[in-house]
Amino acid sequence: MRFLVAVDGSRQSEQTIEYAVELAEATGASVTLVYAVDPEVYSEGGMEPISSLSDADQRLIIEDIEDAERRAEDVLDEAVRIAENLGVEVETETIYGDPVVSIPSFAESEGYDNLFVGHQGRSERTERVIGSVAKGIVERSSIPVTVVR
Amino acid sequence: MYDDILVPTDGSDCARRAVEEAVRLATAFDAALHTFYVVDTELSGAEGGGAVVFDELEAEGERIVRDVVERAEDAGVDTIEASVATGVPYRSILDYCEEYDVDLVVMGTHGRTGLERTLVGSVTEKVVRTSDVPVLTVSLPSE
Repeated sequence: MRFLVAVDGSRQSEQTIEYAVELAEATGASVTLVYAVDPEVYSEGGMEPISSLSDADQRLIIEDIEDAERRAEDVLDEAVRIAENLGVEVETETIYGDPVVSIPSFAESEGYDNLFVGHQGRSERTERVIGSVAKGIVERSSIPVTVVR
Repeated sequence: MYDDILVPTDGSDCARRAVEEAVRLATAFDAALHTFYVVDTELSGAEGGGAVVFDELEAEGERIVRDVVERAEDAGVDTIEASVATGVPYRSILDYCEEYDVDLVVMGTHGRTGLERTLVGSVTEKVVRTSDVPVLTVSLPSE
């Protein structure tokens, strides 16, 4: 058995790692932690200088792809530490694209047996607007997904 | 790790896959397998002809649940709890988890009705969103 755990540096993802690691120990499965760098979010820069407040508002949130990759490294390093504290060796993978799409497709193409994802406790109303990564992954995954809260 | 695994079922192909997975886990962890069918009070309704529909759904639920029990027994699961409940499905599932201290809920991603085949079944979606217990979702192999 090979487990794939989606991590994003949140408290939920920490719990998900702990959960998956515990289950992996009980079943003899291997664990891989995956982080999705989402370039779309970070590549909306414009060529023109900032000329209005709304421009600034839109463009100052831009993060360089290298920053995003560094953040991926930080999140994965921390995730590995969490797993190692539980005495388990894990592998890491960095992939690119919207996590809702890239994670299930990575899990499928790499032949993982089970995908683990944390679920944030947002209100129903908030989720209707901004959605939920966990729900999106469940919707798209062809392999079993365990949603951990 | 798992002592009590719940697999709610609606008898759909996808739920059958969920049952397979739940039975596999129950065997591996020597856990009790709980299964139940919920007669949806919102669907069967109390209005016109409700009682007849209700009875039929309950009978169907018993058939579906019996099928799960047989499969679990064949696989060698020792402790099996099966029932047919009445209520709003996702709420019944959450209540059941609390009452029986369930460690894991296993559910299919697709519901029974045609519309839901393209989306995550609404019951599964609600459970994923509101459950404190981990939810393992299983989909049908893509055609």
